[in-house]
Amino acid sequence: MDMTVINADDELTHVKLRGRVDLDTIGDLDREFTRQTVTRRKDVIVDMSDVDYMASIGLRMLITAAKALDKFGASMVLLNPHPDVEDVLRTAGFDKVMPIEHDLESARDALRAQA
Amino acid sequence: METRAPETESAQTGAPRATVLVVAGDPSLKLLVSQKFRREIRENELAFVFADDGASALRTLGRSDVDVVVTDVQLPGTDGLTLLSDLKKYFPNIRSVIISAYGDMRTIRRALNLGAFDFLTKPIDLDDLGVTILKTVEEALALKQAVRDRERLAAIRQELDVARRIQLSMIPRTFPAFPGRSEFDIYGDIKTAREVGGDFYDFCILEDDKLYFAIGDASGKGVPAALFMAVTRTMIKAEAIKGNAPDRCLSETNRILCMENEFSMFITAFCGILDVGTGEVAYSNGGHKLPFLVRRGAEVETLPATDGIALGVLEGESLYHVGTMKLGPGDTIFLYSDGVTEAANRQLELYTDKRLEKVLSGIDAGLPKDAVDAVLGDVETFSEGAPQVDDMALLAIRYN
Repeated sequence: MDMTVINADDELTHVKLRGRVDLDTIGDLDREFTRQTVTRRKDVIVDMSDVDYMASIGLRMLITAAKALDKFGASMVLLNPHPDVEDVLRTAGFDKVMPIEHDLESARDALRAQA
Repeated sequence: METRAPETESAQTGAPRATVLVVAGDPSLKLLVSQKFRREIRENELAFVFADDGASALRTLGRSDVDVVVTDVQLPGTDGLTLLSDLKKYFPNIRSVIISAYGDMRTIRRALNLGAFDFLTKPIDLDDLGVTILKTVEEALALKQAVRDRERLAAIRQELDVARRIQLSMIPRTFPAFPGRSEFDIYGDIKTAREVGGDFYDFCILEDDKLYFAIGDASGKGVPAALFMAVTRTMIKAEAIKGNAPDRCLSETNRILCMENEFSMFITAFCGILDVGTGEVAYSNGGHKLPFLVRRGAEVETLPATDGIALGVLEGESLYHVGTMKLGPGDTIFLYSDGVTEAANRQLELYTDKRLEKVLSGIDAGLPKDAVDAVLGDVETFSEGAPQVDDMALLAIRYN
C-alpha cells in the first residue's frame, strides 16, 4: 500500500493510492494521507484506480479526511475506483459524502459543484 | 535557624536495574567485582550481593530479587554444581555463570549441561569478567521481560475470553428460538475472525405479533469494533421496542452515534420488522449489504434498495428510508455481512455475491438452518483453509 502526490497547488490536492488497503497494510498511510490532504485544506481528488481492495479501515480513513475537509469548506472526490471497490463505497452510502467520478474532468466539475 | 540535611540521594534511590549474587569461599572475588563494576554500582545499574557457600546463597535467593548468580565451582560444603542444579529447580528464571579452574573442561561441560549460561576460568581475567557478567545480566533481563510479557498476555487473553462470552451472550443463539411459533422459522450464526468481532445479528418478538430482525457490521475488528457494535445493536433494538418504524430506528441510532464519534467509527446495519400475521415486511438499510430474497420456486433476488448511509458517518434528516415487501409461504429472507462475500481463498480471490446467490438458489424452501449451514460450508470449501480475515454474520428467516 502506498500513496503518491500527483499535484498540489493553490486549488487542489491530487493524490493516488495503490495496492490493498486493510488492517495489515494501512500502517502509516493513515497519518500520511491526512498530512497530505486535510492539512492543506484544499479540495482533494483521490485517484483510486490502482486500489485492488479496500477494507473498512480504509473507508474510515477516507471518510475521516472528507469530514475534516468539509469543516474547512473543502471537498473530496474519488476518481475511478475498481468496480468491486466502487460497489463497497456505494453500498455503504459513502458516495453521498465523497462523490465517485470516472474521469478527471468530471471530478473537477463535481468539486466545483460542491463549492 | 534550622538547617536541613542536604538531599544526597537521587540517582541511587530505587531498585537497581539488576542484581548479581556472587558465591565464593574466596574473598578476593568480592574485591574484583567491586572494583570492576564500580561505575555500574555507583549509577545503580548493578547491585552485588555475596554469599560464602551454597546454603547461604539459597537463603539470599529466597529473600531478594536476584537476576544473575556467579558461583565458584569450589565452595565450602556443597559445590557450585549442586548449587546450579538447585537453581535450575527452584529459580529457573535466574541466569548463572560458573567459575572453574583453567582447562577443566569436564566441569565446565557439566555446568553448561546443568543450565549455566556462561563460564569464567581462574585466574580471572578482569575484562573477561566484565564482559561475561554484563552479557549474562542482559540475557537475564530479557528473560525477565519475556516472562512479564507472557503473564500480561495471559491476562489479556483471559479478558478477551470474557469479552467473547459477553458478546456471544448478547446475540440470540438458542434455536429453535421460538418453539411455540409455527408462522416462521429463524436461524442465525456468527463466525468471528478474532476473539471478539464487530458483526452482529439480532431479533426479538415485538408487541402486536411482529418480529424485529437486524444485522450489522462495525468498521474495523477486535475489541474496538465489538464495543461499537454492542452499543449500536442495543440502540437499534431499543428504538424498535419503542414501536418505531425501521427507518426511524436507524436515524435515531445514527443521530446518537454521530454526537460522540471522534474516532470516525461507523457501522453498516439493516433492520426489518415482519408482521407475522400477514407476511408483510418493512425494512430500512444503513449502508449494509442488501439481503437476498429467496422466493419459493423462483429466482433469487436482492431486496430493493432503500438508499441509506452507514451509521455514524453523516448527520442529517431523511438519510434513511423504509422499504416494504410481502413474504409468501416458503419464502426466505437471507441477511449476511460482507465477511461472507469477501472471504478470500489462498489466491486472494473473493467469495463474491454471485457465488452466495448460487448457493441460495439451491435451498428453495428449505429450513433456515440448512441455508446458513450450506453457505458456511461452501465458504469453507472455497477458502481452501486460508485464514478467515473478517467476521461473518448470517441470519435467515423463512415465512411459513
